[in-house]
Amino acid sequence: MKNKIKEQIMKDLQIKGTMDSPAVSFTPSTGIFLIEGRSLQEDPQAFFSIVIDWLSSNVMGKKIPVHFQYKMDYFNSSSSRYLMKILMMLNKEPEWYRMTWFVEEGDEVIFEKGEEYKLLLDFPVDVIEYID
Amino acid sequence: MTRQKENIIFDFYQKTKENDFVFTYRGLFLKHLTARLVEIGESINNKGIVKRKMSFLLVECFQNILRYSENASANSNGYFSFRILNGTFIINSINLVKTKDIPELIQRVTEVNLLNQKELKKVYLQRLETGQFNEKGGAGLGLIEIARKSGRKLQYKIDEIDGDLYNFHQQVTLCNREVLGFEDIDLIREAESDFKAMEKNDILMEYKGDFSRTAILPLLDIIENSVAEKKTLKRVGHVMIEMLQNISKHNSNKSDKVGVCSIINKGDDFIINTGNIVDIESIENLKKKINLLNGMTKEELSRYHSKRILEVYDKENDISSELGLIEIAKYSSKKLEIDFNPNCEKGKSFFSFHASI
Repeated sequence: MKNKIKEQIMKDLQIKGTMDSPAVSFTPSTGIFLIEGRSLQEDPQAFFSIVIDWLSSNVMGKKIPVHFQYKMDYFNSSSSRYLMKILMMLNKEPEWYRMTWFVEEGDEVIFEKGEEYKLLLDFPVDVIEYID
Repeated sequence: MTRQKENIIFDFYQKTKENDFVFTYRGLFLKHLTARLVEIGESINNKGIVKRKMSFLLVECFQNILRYSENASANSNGYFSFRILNGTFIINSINLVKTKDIPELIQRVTEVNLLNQKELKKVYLQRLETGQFNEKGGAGLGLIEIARKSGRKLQYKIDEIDGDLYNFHQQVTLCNREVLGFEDIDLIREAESDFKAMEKNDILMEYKGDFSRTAILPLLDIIENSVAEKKTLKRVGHVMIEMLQNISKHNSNKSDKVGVCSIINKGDDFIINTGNIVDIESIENLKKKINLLNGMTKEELSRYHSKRILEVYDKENDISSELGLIEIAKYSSKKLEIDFNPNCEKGKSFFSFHASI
């Protein structure tokens, strides 16, 4: 019985942010999945593969409500492709997810990007402005 | 496409051909820039020159200017440039000084230039011990340390601007080897004419080198601390990232991310110019892509971006260069401008790219 409970306990996903890659934090107890900072690596495939593989194994199909929070000040076009991959994965089971897309006050670029992604997704997306 | 825009970046490319790296900043000397300059220095392929010494000299030279220069008004721009040329690291700076400070400046530079390394160390320790401080709060130690670390004579020139203000030009040289009879390259006049050209064309920064991620980040930070509005700065940042990373995607030599970039800033307006060498075969394709994007409205660009990213996000082929160009077009305030100049190697062309924000 104890072993079964242990198996059901999900691990956190914690990746520390760097100068050009975001911090990632997923805490099962709160259901909050946060990507924060900036993503400027020219080829972020290795970084995002870790996140995508983890989501695929630990979240998809598990019927866990997840609040995806995206709080970035810069992400390059190479990163946007992988963000789309993550969002399309979540979009396969939209009833379990919602997203908050954070925008620093005055950042029209991140705001516009948020509005664009919102149109492509079937789960609720709130674009929220904050003051740094 | 105006000849001026094309000429500025191509001229810079031609002028810096022999250099492995160049960074030039024209603007106010602000404290926070010290760390950015070091970050840029750290990102360079240093060609055998000791990085610690390079960073030290950058900090000391810049902070020396902060300590001793006088800004006559909020609009007083200075000049700070560093480069790697023929295995030599060279820092050129131009800053305003007042008449009353000139005799002391000349005396200090002359003094350090007369001393050898042993003597410099002796004077340094003496000053530390006796704690002689001048009205600026320094002990003249900065210049002594610069002379000690560089191991070469400091070069300088003083020009009158008006009755009480002068431009103080300084050059510090650091080599990766001691060559007997090595003649220091004198770039003081070149720096002077470069400064004048940057003032005339409102150029904020010029960069020749490898656009790796580590170089882009401090450039981004320097932009972010410019005086324009936040929303403009964010657009400039996004466009600059895509343009600089675009260089490595379209470079003739795929393993080589070397290119040139200049950023023009006049009030709230920015123009980002990049240049790099591409194969002649890629010209038509680039022209087609840019013409397509220039023919779209902002809404059409937005829809096109969404369409393309949905079509290919999951595919193996790399479309990030196309996505990058779409983003550049979306966040620019005018049509993108490009030009191809065949006056470089055979079978290749110098591709210049200009975006206005």
